[in-house]
Amino acid sequence: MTTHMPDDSAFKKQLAVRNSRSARWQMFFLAATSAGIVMLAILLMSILNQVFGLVAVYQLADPNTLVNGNPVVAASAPDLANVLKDNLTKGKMQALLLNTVIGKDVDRALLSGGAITQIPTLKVVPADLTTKGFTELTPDDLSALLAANLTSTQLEAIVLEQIVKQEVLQSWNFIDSVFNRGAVEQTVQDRIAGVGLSPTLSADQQKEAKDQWQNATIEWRSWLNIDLLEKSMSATATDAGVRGALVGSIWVLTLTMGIAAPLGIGAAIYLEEYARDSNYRSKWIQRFNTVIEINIRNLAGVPSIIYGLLGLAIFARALGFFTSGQVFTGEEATGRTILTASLTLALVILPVIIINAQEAIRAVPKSIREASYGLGATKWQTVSQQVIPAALPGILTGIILSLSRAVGETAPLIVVGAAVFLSQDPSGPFSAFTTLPIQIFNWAALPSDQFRNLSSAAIIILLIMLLALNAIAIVVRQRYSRRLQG
Amino acid sequence: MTLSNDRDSKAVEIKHLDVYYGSRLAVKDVSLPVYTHKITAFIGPSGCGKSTVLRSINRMNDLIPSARVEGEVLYHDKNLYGADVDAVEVRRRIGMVFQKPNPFPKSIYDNVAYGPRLLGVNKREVLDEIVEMSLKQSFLWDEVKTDLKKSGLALSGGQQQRLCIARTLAVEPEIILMDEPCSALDPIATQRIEELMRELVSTYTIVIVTHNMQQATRVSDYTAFYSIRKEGDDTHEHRWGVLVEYGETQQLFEQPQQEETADYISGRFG
Amino acid sequence: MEAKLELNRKTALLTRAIPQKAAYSDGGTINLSRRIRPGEEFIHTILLICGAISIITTVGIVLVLLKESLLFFGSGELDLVEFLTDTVWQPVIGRFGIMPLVTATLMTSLIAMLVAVPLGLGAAIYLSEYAKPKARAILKPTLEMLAGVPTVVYGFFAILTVSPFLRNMLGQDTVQFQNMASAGLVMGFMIVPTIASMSEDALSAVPRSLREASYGLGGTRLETTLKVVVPAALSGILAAFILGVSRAVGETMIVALAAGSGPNLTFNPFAAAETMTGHIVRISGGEISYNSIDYNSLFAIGLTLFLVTIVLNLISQYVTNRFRESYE
Repeated sequence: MTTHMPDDSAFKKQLAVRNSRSARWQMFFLAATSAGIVMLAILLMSILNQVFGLVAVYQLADPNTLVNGNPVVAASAPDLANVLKDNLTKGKMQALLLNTVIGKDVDRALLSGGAITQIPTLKVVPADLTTKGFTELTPDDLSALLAANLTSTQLEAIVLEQIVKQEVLQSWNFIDSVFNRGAVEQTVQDRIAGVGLSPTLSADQQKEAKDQWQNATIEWRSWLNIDLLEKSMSATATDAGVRGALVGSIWVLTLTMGIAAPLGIGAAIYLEEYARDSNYRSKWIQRFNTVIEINIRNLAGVPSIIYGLLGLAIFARALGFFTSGQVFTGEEATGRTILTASLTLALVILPVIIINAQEAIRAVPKSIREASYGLGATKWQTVSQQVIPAALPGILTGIILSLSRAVGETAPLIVVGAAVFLSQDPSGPFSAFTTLPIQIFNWAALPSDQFRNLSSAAIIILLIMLLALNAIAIVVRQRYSRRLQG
Repeated sequence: MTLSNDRDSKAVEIKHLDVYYGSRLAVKDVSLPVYTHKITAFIGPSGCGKSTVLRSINRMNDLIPSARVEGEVLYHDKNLYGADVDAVEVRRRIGMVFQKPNPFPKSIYDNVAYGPRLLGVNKREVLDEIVEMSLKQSFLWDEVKTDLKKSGLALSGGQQQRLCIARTLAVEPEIILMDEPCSALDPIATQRIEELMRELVSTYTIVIVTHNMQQATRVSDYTAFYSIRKEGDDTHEHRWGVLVEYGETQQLFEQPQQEETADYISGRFG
Repeated sequence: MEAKLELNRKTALLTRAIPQKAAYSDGGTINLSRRIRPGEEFIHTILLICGAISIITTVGIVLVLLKESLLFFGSGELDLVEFLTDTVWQPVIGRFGIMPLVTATLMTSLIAMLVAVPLGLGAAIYLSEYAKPKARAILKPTLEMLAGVPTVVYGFFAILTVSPFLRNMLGQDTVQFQNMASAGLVMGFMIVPTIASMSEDALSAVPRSLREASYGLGGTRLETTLKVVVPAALSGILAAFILGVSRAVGETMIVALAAGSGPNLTFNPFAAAETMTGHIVRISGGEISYNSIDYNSLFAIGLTLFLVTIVLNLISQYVTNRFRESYE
């Protein structure tokens, strides 16, 4: 009898080929798995690369010796006010007093005639100035008034802004700063010589730029610093920070959770504990429940930007009288508020919360429900006293994870109308808003290097928030498994 | 002990009970009495519907969405499946102990106090008293009295089952249904539960489903033997449970009236 | 005797403590009537409303998109045919052809899938068929971190690193600063975990017996995987791909930052072109005035996007469900 199979040696040869092919593909599969992880590492490194590095800083005056040879930091209010007087014109001083203490909305008549004590916003007036009018104030008087009405911290900020006028001319990333210091020095020399300056500058501007480079100091800077958290929006990179955006993010997240968590848990309880109840055998109700289930799974796949359009048309526009706070304050305002953003985000994460909560509730052993019913508990008694407590860690984990999605969600919030510029921090549900990822987006779209550095630093803050949320979720989950073991 | 004394006092009377799961018949035409202060045992091969009948006595089957019951379960002259009967009311009077011990993931104290609390008993000293009594009745008190705050799940299997019994006793039911309460326990724990059942029957009426015929002979006063009926060919077979024989335990085991019963108890069945 | 006393005491205690206890201990009539529990009914209603929110959301989305789109088409500036076939989107001159936005969306999604399909499937095969449990326990959560990175961060990464890299490799003239290739590449990596985890589920659901049959006939691990396991899980894998496409089509921040800031009908991956989602973000960012044709046009784009993703999701779900049935 003949065989159609290859003989022994042929088989051995063929097997070697098959095995080596198998090994090659295994390499590919491993590479495919690692590729994403490598990519993540590159992403993190290129962002960190932007966060630390050298900067060329130019300042009109040295803040370390400005106050009679002493640093601006820790100087007293009168000393700082004196520095202002010495460096600014009388007109500038008047404007400062007007903008920072008196307020621009003041009745102009009070400024042109009568004693300054008549101005209600000017709280403290030294005794020797009580009879003077606003226009009669000398630079010394103005300086005294500033010192009396502002704290030293406020004055310090004004000195830095008006006199020191720090400006970052250029920033270098971490790798260049460490490994390519020569190129950094070369750039500085080039700029001093006028090479590489923007060709659109006029001759005077060219000269000014060269002077600035001449006097610039090269120093290390971490763009991720306390200033970033304390400063808010600004058109200049050195004055810009994430405070307003961070406050906005925290407001939006808190409200989102307040809206989405109860709704999501409620829906999950309904679907798991009530919808399958034999007492509701009506075909209509059954069909309704199936529709809800399918619908939730579909909603989870709808792009978040679509929710943005829904939020724009319904929450911001149609319900604008409510989301703007108009019904409460009576003031006409736009509906593009924290509340609108939170309602929209709540809808985005609702399906995720529901699906996770359903899983957590389903994981509660049937025997616990039976034991409770067997003792004569009603449905809600069983659900509230046995099922929810047992499922709670799972539900909480799901909520936290959905929040970590909400933290980074950007598109729907831009669509519902995040503020392009915030003059003050969001302070409640009816404030105009921006959030951290939107701030990142706005900075990222700007051409300047410094905003790129700021954007990267803000991303690190965002990623820290995300890691914190995930860490909390892990802790909750671990405590849960320990509790189940008794 | 004479059995005939209590003959007239029926705690529950099941009449022509059919149970369906969806369109599938699970138990057909079961009728039997459950006598007060007696232990009634349900025995039979698996799939014979004995648990289904047990769970229909306190309307536990309501929790299975597709389950449907026909016939009557009379309790104090009232059909438990009457239109106006409240399942919650039924279950607090007819308690249940399950096959696998299922303490709540709470302290021993809270496990026992759960039922009374549902009924609005919230005074600490009253609850303390109920918890102590119930644990004493289930012979668990001496083992746990020093750590009532410990999780119910930290107890051994046998202790957990006695905790579940204490939890049932705490709401003072009239009848206790036990669905193979010893099947997950070792012989020593089983013996303790059996002793406990004999103690409790002076105060309560007990119905027990058991796989173990020796257990039925040891603890029960009456026994109901269920079996399976089939219809159709191999591909489309329908199976349902029926009650074959019911009687005083001693009589049923010593002089079974039906051949099928005799086959089963002598081990010649299936 | 003592026990009996205790029991009596207990009965007395419970008679006091638990309502209606006395009724059944002395054989009197008891009341089993259905009790009306207003609290229970109230809670049931509240929970039902929570469940219904999802339906209201869907209805809301459909109504809003339809209403504003109808206003858009009712403006007299254009008709549906023009919307679908015109190759220019330039609201200033009254041209509203969605084609350039659609082609850009298709291009970025296609590039993303070119990255995500081989990597995602490769990773799924490695995790399901090759990785030891220990390696899997580390690799899988790490890979899933990719899905947790906010998309605005990816977008920033695309313009910060990927686009300059492409420009250095292929020339500043060939590759524009914003381009569909870098947006698509980064988006591909974002989608890898989605495809990997869904495909892995499908692969793991293939019964062991099939693998053993193949090994039993002398198959290598690769032959078993590619010729037996993958074909058996094919519909599940397909569902993962479709879901991946749906993700790519709906993804916004990456393309808004990296793909382009103006509609451009081109199939050159290195050119800048704005996608549907990118256009919605750019136009609505800033104070868009209600009732303008710009405002309405966003909803017409949104409707197109919604229909495309919902169809993709439904197909994916249908395929998954059919797949599940075949093994259960």
